[in-house]
Amino acid sequence: MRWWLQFVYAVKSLGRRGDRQRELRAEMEFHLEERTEELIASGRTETEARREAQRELGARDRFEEECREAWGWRRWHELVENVKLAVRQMRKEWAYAAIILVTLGLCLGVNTAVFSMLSNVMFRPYPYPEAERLVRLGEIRTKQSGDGSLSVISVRKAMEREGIDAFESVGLYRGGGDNLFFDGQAFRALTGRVNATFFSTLGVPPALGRVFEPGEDQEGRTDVVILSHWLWASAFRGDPDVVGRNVEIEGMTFEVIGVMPEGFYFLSPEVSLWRPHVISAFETSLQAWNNNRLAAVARLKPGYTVEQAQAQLDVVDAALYEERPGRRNYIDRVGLRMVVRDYHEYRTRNAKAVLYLLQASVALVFIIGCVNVLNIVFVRTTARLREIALRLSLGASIARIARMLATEGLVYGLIGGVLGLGAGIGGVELIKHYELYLFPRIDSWSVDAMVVAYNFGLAALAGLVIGLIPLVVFWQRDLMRLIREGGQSMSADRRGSRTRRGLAIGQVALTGILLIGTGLLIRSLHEILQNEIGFRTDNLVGAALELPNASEPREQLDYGARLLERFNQLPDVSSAALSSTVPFVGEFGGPRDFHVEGQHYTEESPHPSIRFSLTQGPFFETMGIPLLAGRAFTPEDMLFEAPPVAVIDRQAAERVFAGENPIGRRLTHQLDGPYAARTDATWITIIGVVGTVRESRLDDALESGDGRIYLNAGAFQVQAQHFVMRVSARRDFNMEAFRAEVRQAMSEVRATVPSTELELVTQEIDETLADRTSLMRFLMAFGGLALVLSAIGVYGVLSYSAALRRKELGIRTALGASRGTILNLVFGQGIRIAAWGLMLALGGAVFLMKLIEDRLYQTSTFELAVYGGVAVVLLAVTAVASLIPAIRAVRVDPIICLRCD
Amino acid sequence: MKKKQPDLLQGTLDLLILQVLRNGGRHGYDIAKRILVVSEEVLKIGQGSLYPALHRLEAGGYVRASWGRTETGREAKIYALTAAGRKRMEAEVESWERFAGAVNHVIRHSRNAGATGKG
Repeated sequence: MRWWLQFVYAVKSLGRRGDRQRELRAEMEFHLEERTEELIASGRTETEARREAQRELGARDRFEEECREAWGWRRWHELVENVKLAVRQMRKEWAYAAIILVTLGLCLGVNTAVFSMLSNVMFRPYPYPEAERLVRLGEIRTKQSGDGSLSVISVRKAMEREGIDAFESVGLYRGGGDNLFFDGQAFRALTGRVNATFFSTLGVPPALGRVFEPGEDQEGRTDVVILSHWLWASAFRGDPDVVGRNVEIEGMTFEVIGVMPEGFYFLSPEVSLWRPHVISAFETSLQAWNNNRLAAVARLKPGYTVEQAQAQLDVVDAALYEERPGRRNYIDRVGLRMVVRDYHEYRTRNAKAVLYLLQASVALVFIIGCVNVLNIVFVRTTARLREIALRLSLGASIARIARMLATEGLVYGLIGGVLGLGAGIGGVELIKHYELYLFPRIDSWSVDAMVVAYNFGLAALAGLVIGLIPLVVFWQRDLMRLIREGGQSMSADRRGSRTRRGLAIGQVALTGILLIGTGLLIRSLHEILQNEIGFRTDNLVGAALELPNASEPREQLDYGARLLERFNQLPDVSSAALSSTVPFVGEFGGPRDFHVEGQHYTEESPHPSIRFSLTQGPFFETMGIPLLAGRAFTPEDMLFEAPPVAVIDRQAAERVFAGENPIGRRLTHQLDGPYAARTDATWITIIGVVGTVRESRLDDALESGDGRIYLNAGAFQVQAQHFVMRVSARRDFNMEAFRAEVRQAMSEVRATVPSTELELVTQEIDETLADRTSLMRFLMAFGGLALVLSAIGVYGVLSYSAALRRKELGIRTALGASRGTILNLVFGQGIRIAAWGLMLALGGAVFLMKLIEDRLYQTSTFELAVYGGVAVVLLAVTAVASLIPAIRAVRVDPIICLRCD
Repeated sequence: MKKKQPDLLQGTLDLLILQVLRNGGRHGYDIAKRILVVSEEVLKIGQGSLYPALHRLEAGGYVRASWGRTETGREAKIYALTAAGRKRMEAEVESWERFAGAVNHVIRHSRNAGATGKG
């Protein structure tokens, strides 16, 4: 800490510089007088004594200077002088300075923006104590593509078994939206529905009141609600007595029991209230198997590792497999497995690789930009060397010169850093504006202290390199020759220009690699968009529909029918239907094992498992799914207790019937043991075959699906639905107005309006591709920036080398070299740089593209079209960049040229 | 008789100043005089080294300076030890004693060895 004291002292001294000087003088005067008096006392005359004392004090100036140095000013004084010098230098060469600063600012900006994403997602601590003990629980289908759906049903059941002791508690969470009514005001809020142990699992105590008690997630005791700090502070105006007050949610009265502290969130920071979630019979049924709306988070007991917890779940999985022979077939086929994963790892699983990839890309951009800056600095260095030599010969120490140059570099770094931070914040805003992210936790994204430190750290590093390069170059040169040649040593510059060409080649190579990566991603997205989706996506809207709970099947069917009728009256709606599954909107109803009449099942060929949907209304017509054989549902099929009929998709038809005609065949889901149908089973007649559709992702391998069977809702009990409508294609169609119309229509059919998030299906599809499109756009931006930077780099190198060779070119022209020859000389140099860079890029890409292999879709890491395209772009851009200095070289007048110098 | 002025290492000068301030504050001239008297006129501290040393010690937080009055009623800058200065003084005295003891030991030992060699 001593250096710190000294620093404080120096700053204080600096502040009262005048006082210090006066004090020092007074101290010296006092000394003189004391000494004089003493000398007088010993018998001298006053004049003698005074002279003697003066003599003893000696070279007063020198040691006063030493004293001042002790106050710590001199360094500061020198620093101020150096900064002034740097600013003067910058103003003198303002064009160079501007190019350097803009380049630095841009390169730092992209780095800072990406780093702020990275640090927010990866390093920001969670608002839960001991978050490292939190794990995510789920059941995944390991053999299916993607992350697999998660179901917490088995997990919840597993928790009750013996031998599971790794978990302290389990919290369940389901996101939703609610309409609130409080103090005569209505609000719409995102809500979290949670089980009673949710808050204790996260370990966050409330700021006011209490959290849920055990049992408050059971039917009849759920009229309690906990507010977020934000909702409490805004809608409830920070009322300290809010606990115990009532709030109306979806027409029911709830008592506020607590307020969570500021900064608390789970999954989404926008959720502003939490209410108990009752696990319904439906959610525990097999139908809800694919229902991944429930999230489970658990806290491990201290001392337990994720691996130990996983081992315990594996044992339960094995036991369940033994206990339920009927499900073995399904479990084997999809690879069903309960998994426990570290919470942070789970939350960042998708973002991590992408973020590091982006960070690596901007690092390349930074290097490319720095090379440009270096080139400029090298050029300036030649001029600077003479100044350094002069200062040295006038007695400045190397250390002092180094300090001067480093200060100059750091001033560049500081200004560049400020520009970079500005650009970075701008970048962050841009990313937010275009929603170029689909990473968790990014909503409350901010440029924090760590990001600022990163920005300025990088800036300082760049600044030091910029500043000290002249000194390094200087060390390699002969001092005397420098002074003699005025800093324009030809031989040294030949070496310098070789270095510069090498750097330019490096730039082109790195740019090439970035562009190839970008190209491969563009190609992948193109491939994905070529995929057959199986239905017409234009002007299609859909949403989840919450059916009235616990009502009779007939009532539910009537409700659906009346709703469809009312929807069809809306001027914008051309067709509407209900289905438990609407592609890209939502899915209820997972796979079921079916028994086909006339087929025999054994252990080797068990019951086929097919995903089913219950539909009401003209679903295929509305969706635009083509009918391939037989007929679609008729209105009669939709009547209550109509005979059960089914339409299956081509995939299921081919899998189950293997080339036979499925029309007229019968099947049932009511099974008796693993291989037989129940004797009293209801048989469903297949009436038609439709095309297969993609349901959740465009980049899924279609073959991984089970196929789907559509059943007429009238013959079954409907438990959950989605609705889908084809709306008018008119230009001024307003989604917001349409949503209001639909809400109005729904409230006419039923008094309480269930919450719906009506959305265009194309929008939903885009969202499933958002991670790919975002990454692609980022890389396009970075690749473009790199391309511009390296074009500037090539241009700079050629311009400078042409300027150095002016004399030579002049002589050549004078001796009769044609314009073409001169043009070729300079232009050819540029093309050689591009060719070498390109070769390195292509070579490097073959290895480096392995890093993004996971992000590619039906695109090889060695896609010739992409490599070729990048080669053409790079060559073309370098050619343009080389042409300008080449033309300028041709225009040089040989006479002027030979005379100069 | 003019004694030869021994070279003073900077660290030693700091030690002497701190030691002299041990029993209370003094002004610069007083410090130099005190060292001269106590060392029996061997250690004559030039102003050229005394004042920079004092200012360095002040900047380092080992002494604190304040303006006060001398017995003769004059305004003078009085230096006093701080806690950090006292600690440093103790540490330096200890290390000096170890150093001086070692040097003395070497001198005595080689004298004895020389004597035996002669005999």
